[in-house]
Amino acid sequence: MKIAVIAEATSLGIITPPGAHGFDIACGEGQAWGVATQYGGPYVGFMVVKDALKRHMPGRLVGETVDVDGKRAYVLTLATREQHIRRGKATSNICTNEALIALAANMYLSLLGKEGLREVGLQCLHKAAYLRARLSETSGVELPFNGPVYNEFVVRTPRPARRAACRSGKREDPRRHRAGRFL
Amino acid sequence: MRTPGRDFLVAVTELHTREHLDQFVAALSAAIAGER
Repeated sequence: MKIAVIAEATSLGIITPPGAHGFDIACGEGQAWGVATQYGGPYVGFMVVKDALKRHMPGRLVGETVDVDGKRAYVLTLATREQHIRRGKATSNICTNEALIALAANMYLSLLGKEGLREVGLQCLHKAAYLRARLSETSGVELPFNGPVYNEFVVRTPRPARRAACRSGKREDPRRHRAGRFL
Repeated sequence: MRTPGRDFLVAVTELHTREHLDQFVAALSAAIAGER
């Protein structure tokens, strides 16, 4: 069984889906899907599986169907908690309801849509490439890793960058005051 | 090899503008120059 872990959820807008690479399960952290930092949490995670594994997923699955008028509707399709089915058959005893955060992430994804998520992914990719190129030309800045990046990368400075930013407040150059905002 | 304190992670989002990124480069460059 192959499991894919997605470190940056917005990258899913532009990368090949993990299932196309033969992964059976893909999971990750979805804070970037419209869930702002909130004094340490809560966050949202996601997990998707191949069809054959769906009955082993913890929690509940909501399926899409149509109502009596033929309109799109959603219904609780699979509930594998021991409260819903025989304990011996249950695959989940997840009880805490984090639906509010999941709802926020769903709203974000719904508002963006497939094309919007792709646009977010492309913007992250291109802007990170731009910043990386600018920093590579900056005296004293090293980029210690040269593998492909999406929207995050490591920067190395001659001395601890945070200390440099703090000291910079004593100088007259106004740009130096701004460094602390970023670091 | 990781160098504690000297390495930090930069994350870019779709909300950053080119001006933000240019400001960051200028601020970091100035901070490094001030350390020398």
